Amino acid sequence: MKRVLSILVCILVFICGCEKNEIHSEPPETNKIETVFSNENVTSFDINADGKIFFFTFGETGEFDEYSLPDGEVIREPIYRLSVSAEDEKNPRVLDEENAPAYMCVDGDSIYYPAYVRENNVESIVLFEYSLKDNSKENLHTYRDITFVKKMLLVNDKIFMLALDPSKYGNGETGDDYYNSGEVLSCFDLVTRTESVIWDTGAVEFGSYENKLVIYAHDNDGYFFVTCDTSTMEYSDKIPCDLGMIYAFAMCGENRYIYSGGENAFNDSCATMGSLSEKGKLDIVIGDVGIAGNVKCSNGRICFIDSAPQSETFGRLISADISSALRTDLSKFLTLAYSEDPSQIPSSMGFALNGKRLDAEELALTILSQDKDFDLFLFTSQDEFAYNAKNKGSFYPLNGIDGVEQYLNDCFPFIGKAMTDENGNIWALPISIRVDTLCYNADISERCGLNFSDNMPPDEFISAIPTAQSNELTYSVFPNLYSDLLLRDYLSRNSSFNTASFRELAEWIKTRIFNNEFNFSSGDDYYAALSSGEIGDIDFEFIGYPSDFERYSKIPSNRLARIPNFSEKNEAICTFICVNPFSANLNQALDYISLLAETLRTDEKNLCVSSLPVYKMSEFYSDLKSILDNGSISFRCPNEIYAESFANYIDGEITLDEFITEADRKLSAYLNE
Amino acid sequence: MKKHFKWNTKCILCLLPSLLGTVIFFVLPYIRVLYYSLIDNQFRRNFVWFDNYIKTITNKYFLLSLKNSVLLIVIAVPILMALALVISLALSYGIKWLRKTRFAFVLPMVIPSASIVLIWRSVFTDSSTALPIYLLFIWKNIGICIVLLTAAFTSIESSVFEAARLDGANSFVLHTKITIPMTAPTVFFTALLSIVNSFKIFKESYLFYGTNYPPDHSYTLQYYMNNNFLKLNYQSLATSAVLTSILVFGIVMAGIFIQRRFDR
Repeated sequence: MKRVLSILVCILVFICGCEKNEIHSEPPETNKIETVFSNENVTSFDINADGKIFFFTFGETGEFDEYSLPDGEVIREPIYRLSVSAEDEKNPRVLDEENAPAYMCVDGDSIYYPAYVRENNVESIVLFEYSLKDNSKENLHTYRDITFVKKMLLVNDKIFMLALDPSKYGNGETGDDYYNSGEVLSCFDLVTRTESVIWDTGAVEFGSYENKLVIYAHDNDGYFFVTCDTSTMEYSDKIPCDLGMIYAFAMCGENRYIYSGGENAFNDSCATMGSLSEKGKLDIVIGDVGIAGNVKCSNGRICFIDSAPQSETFGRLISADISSALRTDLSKFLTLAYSEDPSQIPSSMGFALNGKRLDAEELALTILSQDKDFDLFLFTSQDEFAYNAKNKGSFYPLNGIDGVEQYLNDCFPFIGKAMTDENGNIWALPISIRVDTLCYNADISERCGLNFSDNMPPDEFISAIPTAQSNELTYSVFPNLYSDLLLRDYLSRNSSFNTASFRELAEWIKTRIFNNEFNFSSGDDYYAALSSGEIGDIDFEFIGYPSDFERYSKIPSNRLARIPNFSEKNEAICTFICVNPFSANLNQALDYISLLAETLRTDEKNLCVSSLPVYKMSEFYSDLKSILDNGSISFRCPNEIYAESFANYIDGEITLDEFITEADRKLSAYLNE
Repeated sequence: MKKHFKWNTKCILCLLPSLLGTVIFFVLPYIRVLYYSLIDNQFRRNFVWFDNYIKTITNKYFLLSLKNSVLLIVIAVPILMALALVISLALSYGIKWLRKTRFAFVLPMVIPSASIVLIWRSVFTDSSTALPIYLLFIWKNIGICIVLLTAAFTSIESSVFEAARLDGANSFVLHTKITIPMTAPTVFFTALLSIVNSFKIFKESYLFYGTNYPPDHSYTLQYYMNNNFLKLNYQSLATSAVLTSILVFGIVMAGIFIQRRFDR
């Protein structure tokens, strides 16, 4: 009996160790998104059956209302009115409407919109119809039971409105999400002029495609989709699908939908495409915009009002081309785990790339448990576990994968070296590189007698700042950033803080950088230049991202120099992608890597490649190449080893010896555990 | 014979669900950890046999963590047991003022660790010794020890003591010949439980120091394992886990051996 049991246990253990790989997939297409046009002060919009965009704007008419106060003072207040316009029209029509409706629907020559009307101290939502033919406005219906309109669509001569019914308002939860119950989906039939509530529990979002309504809702079992044929008002069975709490939703095909928010977006400026019939999802990067609320899709375009306050196009109507994403086969999907919001998202290469953020513990557990649900990992050399990921053989070796070795040979040598472990295995593919540099306006600097160059000693650099200040230059050199750069540079070359060179460095940082004798930033004028986008007004500052290089290189007199430090090497931070050796879609993941390597090798914006034509096009990029030629990638130790203690030392709470004792103890433990 | 066989079969069938759970959630994972400790990494899986063990045993931080964990057992557990015994005896003797405060001994068990640590950090500002952690361990575990030992003391029937007194036994004899032998199994069990709980003090220690790298005097086995986990060094983690299990197994076996000798 004992022998039988022990044999059974051994068989079970061996079975657990065996894996199967999926079938090889076909080569995919490339996906590309472009912003098409924008308009200002848009409150709502819709796309008609011909694909033409109509939108409301709410602004001043140029006229004023005058009020006299009891003391005789006259107050003039501008009159705001709603205007309607189409994308190809220059002169908007002004409506007799004081509201700024958040939603509208266009059908032929009619525009339907909800507005708040107050009668006898009671505020109601009224559905209006505006005729583009004769500019007349008609009150179609007053909603008695609903208060706040969240969304409105016109489908098959019916106005569907997602709104709040206060009588059903309350707090509840689905899993870990809290929601405000009370959302109802109301239907107003334009033909019969009757209203009915067609969904009264847990409706979160809805969209439409042709005559089909698709509702995203939840109940005690979780989130799901349900479709409704608006001709017969028949509902399908529930289609379970947990997207989490989403900010915006629209149908862009028979079964395809697009949404923002939820759990699977790379970041806030992504929309995610999914399908009612397929499992895969595709993250679509549109740009530095916010997608929330009203989103519409038509003719391969997605339209929305930019909701990101920091965005240059905030409050404007954006239209972006998503036709290539619509052609992507969502049955070919890969799941990519990333450690923090990536500054560079890899191209999907025609795969449905579904992103999920994991913290350090989750990532460690995923790798330890050989989780098959993740296919790719994206992280940077800054991540604390990157060094050990390289040396512990936790990822699939990319030697022999088409295009990878050729791509690495084209990269800067220090990048290729960092992507190869001690056994010669290529453990990752570099996606992007960033290196902190000093960007300065050469003309102005020369005029002021500031000699920024690659060999500028740190002392000379610090001494240049008062000169910049007295010449009223616009600049910024953040002390904490500079200090951190110098410490990281030191740690990339040393494994102990207890050295004479570190003592010198620490004293230098404390006395020269944090002495508060002069300003490390020119203050308001710097931030004003930054926020207005007038980077040509900035005379020198630290920059490091590829997007920064692109912007600053457009100013002809801008040059780059390495960050003044005490070593010869320039530390770079590399973002790279690795393959999970236990992935359920291993062959697809390797196909993806192969295509990505080939694309990156020929991508003119990929700074990893040393023979990039852009490096010869300007002195700015030539400077950047010189800096990268002398680059190095160090897999840094965690901030907790030294950062807090060093801040205490700078603040005078502990002495240098105490800092060295504490930090060295932690560093020794980290390196030798 | 048939009856015996039927009875055995019934017993095994009754035990099967629990046994299955133990096999799936404890035995199999342990075998897997053992396997991880014998290979070079998760992907290549080349057997390196005891190389990982040699690396771990010769690692100075593993030895430091082992020393600290053993010190915690050797110092804090006997103090905990002694205190718990005294208080349990006093409670079982029915000292009134102590009986009124018995709730206070159980309170540490129900207060969340984060709340306890918050108070501990404001009281113990000097972290140059491991005293705060030792006191925290004793304070947190004394409740369960008192509960178990008090139950053991009060379960001894008074008729036994009466009979012994009638036979002329004095207090010393009553304690050495009746109380101690009859409560010995519970005392050993409580000691064992305290030793196991000494490994669980990691949570409070981590919250107290707020870092993965506490002072050397508080760097225990759990820190070593946790840090290796975060650094994806699973072989080191697996090896130290196996060595820790051997240590605990040794302690348990030694305890059982001593108890059996004591029973004889």
